[in-house]
Amino acid sequence: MILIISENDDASTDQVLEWLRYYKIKFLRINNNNFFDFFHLAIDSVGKTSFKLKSKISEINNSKISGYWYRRGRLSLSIDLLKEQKIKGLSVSSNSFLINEANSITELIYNEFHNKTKSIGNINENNTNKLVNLKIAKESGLDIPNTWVITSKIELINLLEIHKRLLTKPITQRGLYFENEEINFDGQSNIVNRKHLKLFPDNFPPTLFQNYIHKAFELRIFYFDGELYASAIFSQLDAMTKVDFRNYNFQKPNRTPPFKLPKFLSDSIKVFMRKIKMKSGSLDVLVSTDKKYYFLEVNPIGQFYQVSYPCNYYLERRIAQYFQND
Amino acid sequence: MTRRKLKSLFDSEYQKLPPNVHFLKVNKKLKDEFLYVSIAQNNSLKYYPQDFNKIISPLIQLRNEF
Repeated sequence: MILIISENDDASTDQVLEWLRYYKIKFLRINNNNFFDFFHLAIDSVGKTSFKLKSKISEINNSKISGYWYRRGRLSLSIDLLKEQKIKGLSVSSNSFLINEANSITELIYNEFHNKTKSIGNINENNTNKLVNLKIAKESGLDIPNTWVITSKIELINLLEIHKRLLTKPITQRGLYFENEEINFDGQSNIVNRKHLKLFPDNFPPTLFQNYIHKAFELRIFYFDGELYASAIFSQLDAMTKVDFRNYNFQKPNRTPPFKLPKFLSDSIKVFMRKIKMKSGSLDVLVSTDKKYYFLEVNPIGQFYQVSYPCNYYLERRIAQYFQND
Repeated sequence: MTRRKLKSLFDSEYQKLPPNVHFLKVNKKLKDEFLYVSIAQNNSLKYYPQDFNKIISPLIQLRNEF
């Protein structure tokens, strides 16, 4: 049986599951809103691990799981947290202790799943570091934009003197995200030029900037187990998508044909993905007007539908096939 | 979708965040009843998540319309 950890509304997971059904591969999908009660865990003297987790609708039995796909989301254990106690702060410390204890259990469980013979993805990859990845990308032979993390307006003014236009985005993968019943946040990368200076106080928390590269088009590349599937995104001629194609224009979508990567680029990407030990991920590459390829970032849990569907790559089928004959 | 300034959500200490959060857009979510789309094949209703437009290509939306 293949265990899949995902999120309730992830359409790509739905599609992979349809292919798993087609190939008659048994699976168990867990979403982060499925809470599991933990019963026991044992590591015997030869290192064999067994554990028992049960939710209202399913049970995870490690011995029956032969393959694992960490798509996104998390394995959620039910924790009975303490109410506020008479001594101030005692409940906070106790609850933090309970959460850490539960996290240590789930960490081992993730590790067990990840070590299955057929395994894609790892929850730890969610913390993949954009700054470290830029360094590793360069070492792997990829071009990268100049990157600065600065804290003062003076430094920003000096950079704008030289580069005229900069790009800013969060240092972390997800950036500031918030969602409740009424609102959610959206938007990642933005151009900064002199007219934006008034938004910046004299000193500010560490903020990432990169030199703005004039792009001819963008590439979204899905890497899967040593294979590369690329789509060109002609986002440059649309003001809405010019800086970041993820500011989708649904009225007039960007053209996204398949793209054959030059060998030096695919070789470098393979080296890079091997170095960061990522078996699956979506890479953003910018092709400049002077025909250079700049690695921007890799997202381990990025959406690949926009590569798969318009380019007829059938990536969902490819992922399902990976688990055949496990 | 209505856009709001991120700053308007904070009571205080907004300046402790990196200034590039200014560029984040605040989307007002749709009510659930607008997220059910009828599928022609069997005339059933299918629920689409809030972020449907982000994760599904516009092409598949067309497929549902036919």
